[in-house]
Amino acid sequence: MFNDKKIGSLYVAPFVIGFLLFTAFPFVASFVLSLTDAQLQDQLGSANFTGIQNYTEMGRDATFQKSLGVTFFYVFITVPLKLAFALFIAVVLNFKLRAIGFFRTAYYLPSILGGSVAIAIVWRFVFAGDGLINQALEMIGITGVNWLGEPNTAMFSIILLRLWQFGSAMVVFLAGLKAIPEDLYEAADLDGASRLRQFWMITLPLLTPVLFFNFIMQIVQAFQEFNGPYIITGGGPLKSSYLLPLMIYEEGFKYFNLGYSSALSWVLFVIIAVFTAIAFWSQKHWVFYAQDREDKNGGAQK
Amino acid sequence: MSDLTLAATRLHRRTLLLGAAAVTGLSACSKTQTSSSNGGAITLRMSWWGGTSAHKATLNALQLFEKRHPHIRVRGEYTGFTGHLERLTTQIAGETAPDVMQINWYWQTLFSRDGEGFTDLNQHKNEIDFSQFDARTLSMGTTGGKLNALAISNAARLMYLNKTTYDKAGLSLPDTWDSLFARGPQFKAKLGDAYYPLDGLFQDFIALARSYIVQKTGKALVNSETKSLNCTRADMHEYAGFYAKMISDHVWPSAQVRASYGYLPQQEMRPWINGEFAGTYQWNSAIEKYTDTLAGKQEVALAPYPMRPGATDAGLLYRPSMMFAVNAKSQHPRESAMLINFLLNDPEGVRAMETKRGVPVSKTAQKILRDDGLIGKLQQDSEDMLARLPINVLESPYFEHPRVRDGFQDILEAFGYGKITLEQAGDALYDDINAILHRIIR
Repeated sequence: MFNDKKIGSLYVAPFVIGFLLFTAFPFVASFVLSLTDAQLQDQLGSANFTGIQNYTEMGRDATFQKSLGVTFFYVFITVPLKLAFALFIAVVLNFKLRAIGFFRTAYYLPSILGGSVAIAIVWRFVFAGDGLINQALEMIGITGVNWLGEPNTAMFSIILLRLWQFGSAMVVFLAGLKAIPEDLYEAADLDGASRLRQFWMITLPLLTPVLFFNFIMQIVQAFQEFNGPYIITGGGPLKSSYLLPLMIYEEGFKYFNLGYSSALSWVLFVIIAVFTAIAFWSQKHWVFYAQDREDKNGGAQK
Repeated sequence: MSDLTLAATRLHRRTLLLGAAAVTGLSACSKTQTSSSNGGAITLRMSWWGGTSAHKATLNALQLFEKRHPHIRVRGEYTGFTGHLERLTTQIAGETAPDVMQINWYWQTLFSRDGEGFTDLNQHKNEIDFSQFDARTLSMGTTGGKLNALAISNAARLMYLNKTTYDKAGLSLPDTWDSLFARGPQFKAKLGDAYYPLDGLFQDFIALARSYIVQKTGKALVNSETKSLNCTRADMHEYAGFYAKMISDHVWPSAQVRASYGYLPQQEMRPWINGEFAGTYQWNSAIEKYTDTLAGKQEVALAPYPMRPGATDAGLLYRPSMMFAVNAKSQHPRESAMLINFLLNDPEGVRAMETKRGVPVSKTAQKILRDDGLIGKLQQDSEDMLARLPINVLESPYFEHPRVRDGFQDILEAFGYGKITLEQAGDALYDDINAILHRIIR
């Protein structure tokens, strides 16, 4: 009754249907909506086609410009810091230490807890005016800081929440480190290269494919950060932590501007796509694939 | 692989596929109908938001209704307030909304601008006893001549103060605007910097300052017809000045102090819980939510409502706090109307619902609960005060539109953080809010 081809298609059907229904369709629909003045509470049929008006509106929307600036700042600070920190911890955890399993687990733990709502609530408590950090500071005689009440420090606490979840990037780095052949380090040792030099000349170049992967993932995730600002600061004070995903949510579900909200989503999508594209384009200058080297060597021998 | 195992694998595959097909099929046709009837039995869906005690009371009432009408089943769909509107909006847009919905008064402007968004309850005079509701209540649920929604209770923002803290400071509750302003420095002197006589979110303050201005103008702050503020530029400067004085006189915590606790409802903030922020300007229907979180034995009392000399209106936001509406596309509007009448007017339903949604507006429900001693002191005090105060001005629902509220907040916050001067804040309140109103009122 069924041949293998049909059975195969049926097996993938749930995924394909799910993908079309819950990813592809909303994706296309949001673009169509972004060209209308659709309101969440109205029947979709009653929306008017407004062309690129939603997109030109952003040029005049001070809130959008503020949000965009805040988002770029957030991404440009968190991505390099998080990568550097994850790499540092991965290198440390790659040493042959006692109880290394325990340390690896301990450092990965925050990432399992992740950027969840519960953690954000804990974070809010930690950084509150009467929170854990200020209580600790006061115990050693230092006046507390208004972490969440001042624009700069509020952003700082949101950034720190992201850095704290370095575990997943770290694990990927750790796997990359494990894949670097030991004999390279032995050879370098024989040549008298210092540890630091070994890191720069062996570890880092051989790790660039992993770094590239982590870089892309972090860029994409950082641009989409929502939980932190939504729960900890509500985007404030003075919209200092009003990241674009938060604005998209509020435009759509608080102000009911489905059209404008969709347009904002598309702008965010294009920004992420452009950054990813730049990363891919640039990789030929800094990402070192073992495969390339072999190909080049092979080519030279011919 | 032997033929036998191959056959077994095939069988396995087929079972799996059938399962998968069944799941996909189900999800494909699971576009929920508002209600269903099979074999004479009717299933209604009803949605509401609230706290745990409201959920329990409502589910209990629904069971009693089912017992009374064995051919009707009611499925409750209940959540907390956060996200409820988003959920309902999606359901209404997707035509999967429940038969009976608990809504907020101003949601009528979202879902039924022309009165066609909900069932016209006037068509169900046989099912609902409208004589229990006064004309004002009915008019607040009427759009374009259609009775869209029936109020469960009425609510207004009043001043509830932490009497325990006031006693600790040896101060009486303020009864005028001047004495409220005087409490700021007195609190600071007697209890220290951490204590404030009144507190709230920006949205609470925005309503309080509105009341102050409306007491002067005697008019609603927003005019839906002209799509603009119903006051002068000078009034908005006074509005800004009111905020500045509240902060500088230590009556209300500054934006920086409030923000230091993060994005949090007032009743979950430690200074409210332990009585340092000793007051709230809150809906009387919601006050239990606030007294519930107080630590230890602290008493909250209703303060006399401050009035400006010569004011003819208290400037209260007085309106239905929650309403019941019936889906315009419900298959069973009659049964839905019966359910609403049961919950609002029937002795059994009323006793089950208690005052979990505030003191009911239905006259018979009020009498039943009062006779049973189920209306608490704070609730009774609030009802009495609302009966006494002059409340004639009816505010436009657009005053509570999130965009308008955020407009006020952004300006007050910018002033609070020293980004703009008081002069600029007054101008911005007038110009920006007018611009917002013009944009959102269609």
